[in-house]
Amino acid sequence: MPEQSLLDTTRPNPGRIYDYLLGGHHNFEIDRMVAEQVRVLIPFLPKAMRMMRWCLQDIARTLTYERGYRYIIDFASGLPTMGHLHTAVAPGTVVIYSDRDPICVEYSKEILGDTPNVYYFQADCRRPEELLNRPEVQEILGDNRRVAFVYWGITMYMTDEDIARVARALYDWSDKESCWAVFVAEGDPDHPNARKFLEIYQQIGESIYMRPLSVFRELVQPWRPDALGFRTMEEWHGLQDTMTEEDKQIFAAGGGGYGVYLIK
Amino acid sequence: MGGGVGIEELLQRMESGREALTARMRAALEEHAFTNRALFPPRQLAEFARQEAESFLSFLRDPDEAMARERGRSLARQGLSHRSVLALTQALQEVGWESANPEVELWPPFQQTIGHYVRALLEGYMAAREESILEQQEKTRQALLRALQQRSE
Repeated sequence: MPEQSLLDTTRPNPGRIYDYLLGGHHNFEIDRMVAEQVRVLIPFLPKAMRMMRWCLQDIARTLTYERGYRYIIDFASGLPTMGHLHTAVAPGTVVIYSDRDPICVEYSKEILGDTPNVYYFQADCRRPEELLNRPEVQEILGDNRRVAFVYWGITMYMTDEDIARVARALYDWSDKESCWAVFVAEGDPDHPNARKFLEIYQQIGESIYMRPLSVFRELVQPWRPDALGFRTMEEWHGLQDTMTEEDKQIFAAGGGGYGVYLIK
Repeated sequence: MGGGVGIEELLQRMESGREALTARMRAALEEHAFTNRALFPPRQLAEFARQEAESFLSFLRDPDEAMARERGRSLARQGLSHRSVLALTQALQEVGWESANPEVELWPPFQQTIGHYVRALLEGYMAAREESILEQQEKTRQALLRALQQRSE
């Protein structure tokens, strides 16, 4: 997972590369150079990122308007710019964002200002109990443990052990019928272009883990998918034919990953 | 708009063809969906196209350039890419031309009106984009200062 600060400009930063590929301005020349290398290797990646990011507003509405969750706890949130969860939730919903990067946390507080019912804390998504057990968070939540967790676009930075541990920690902490919205990136790490892509990220100090969906399903036990199940990004957005044959060889068919609502 | 009988007729044609206008707007947005900031899930494009078509029709009824500029600002704030905005304005020109046909003599004044809308829209869009970038720079600076302060305390 991203270990570097957003404002460490001495080397490329995955968060800023992501921002650039999504058309943002929170990036520097050193990030754009790497992003362009990545784009050449995997032309579909910016599309995949958009499809993943498009889900956030759907998630916010589904969790709060349709399923009645009043508390959303988001991990590895990045910058809560327009279109992030708090902009689409039902009135009165409490949204707790978190990120491990202290600069990102401060920047996010600048963005959020005095937005009511929205909080931002520094926390590592690999150790969710540290956030959940913070006195400030416990004061916000009170006795409420029927909550919705969100890990969107971060599991590719987590090892299998991290994911299994997080799954257990969230399960143990939360009440029955709690929900965990997760995005699972799927791809073939042995494809030559994917290998080069992974190497680039290793060179900038990050590891990315592509894993089959079947492995992910096992890792998140005992959480169970809801009736919608694991949906490809094309299925999620009602799109077709977004990928070339080459794209499908690198990513699994369907948009590069799956989104799911896991239920306790 | 000019207010002549011909122009009024054109306005009516555009009004009655609003579904076609909306469809053209939607097609333009869909074509460039992957260039926008990540704020426009495809399912929302239809509603967005409807709003944009209504904004234009409203301008035809009452050419309020301040309103058009504000609409442009809104497009930028919501993360629409410049490619999407240009595609929208291209769609307006095309639909306008088709509505003017076959009365070709009506096209110049109509084109001028569309041009006023497009110019105001783009002015608002570009101004908001620039403001957004400057605002982001300032927030970055303040965030850095605060983080450094906290670390040194």
